[in-house]
Amino acid sequence: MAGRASVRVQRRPGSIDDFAKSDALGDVLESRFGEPVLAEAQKDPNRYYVSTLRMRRFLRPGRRGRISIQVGAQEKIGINVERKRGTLARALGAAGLR
Amino acid sequence: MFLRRIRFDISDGVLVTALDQGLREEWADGLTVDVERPTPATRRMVMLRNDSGPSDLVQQYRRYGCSVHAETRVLAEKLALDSIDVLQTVHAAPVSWTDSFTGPRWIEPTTDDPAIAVGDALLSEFYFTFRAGVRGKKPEPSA
Repeated sequence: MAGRASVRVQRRPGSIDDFAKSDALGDVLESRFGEPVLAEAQKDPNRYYVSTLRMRRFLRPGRRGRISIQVGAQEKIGINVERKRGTLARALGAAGLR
Repeated sequence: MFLRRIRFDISDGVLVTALDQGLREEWADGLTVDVERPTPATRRMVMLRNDSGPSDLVQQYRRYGCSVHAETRVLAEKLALDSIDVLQTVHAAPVSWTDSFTGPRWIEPTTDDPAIAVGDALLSEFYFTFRAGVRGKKPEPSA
């Protein structure tokens, strides 16, 4: 009897998890989401607030680790500006993020 | 069918009404709930600010900031937590849901931004944010 051709697709353990923690994904997240949010927040009229704005990358390690991008200002001025004008909330909306 | 044009309605009034009704029983004395600071200021104030947000087909994701003032820090925090509790259950058109509550966070007075004075009291302030889902609809065809 002729044998059947068959193929087995097997996910290499760790491949998706590695990507979720990779610098490549971090670069995409920064350019696609972080930079537009940062650019919008930099339009705030408070010059000191704008000077403290930073974009940073964090990695949560482990099997379920993830790369994440954070945009924020120095804590004290940040919360005061946010409560006065909602700068980061509006920046998220302007960047199309829910 | 591809939806070309969706009309979104004002949501601020619905949220203000819900807060006012939900807080009135316990916080009636000197309470103002609005989108702007009242003139003159009252001892207890809950002020909503609409920071808007993107839309996706028939839904718009609006972010709100809420400043809460009361005569002591403990009362301001409790009023803020009660406000969050009320807002979590809002479901009145056009608001479909609320989520992503953050805070409340105490706002420390500064020389540039001092505490609001009402009578002899310097009010304490807390701030929190949340997101409201606003459902849009296809506009009625013109006659």
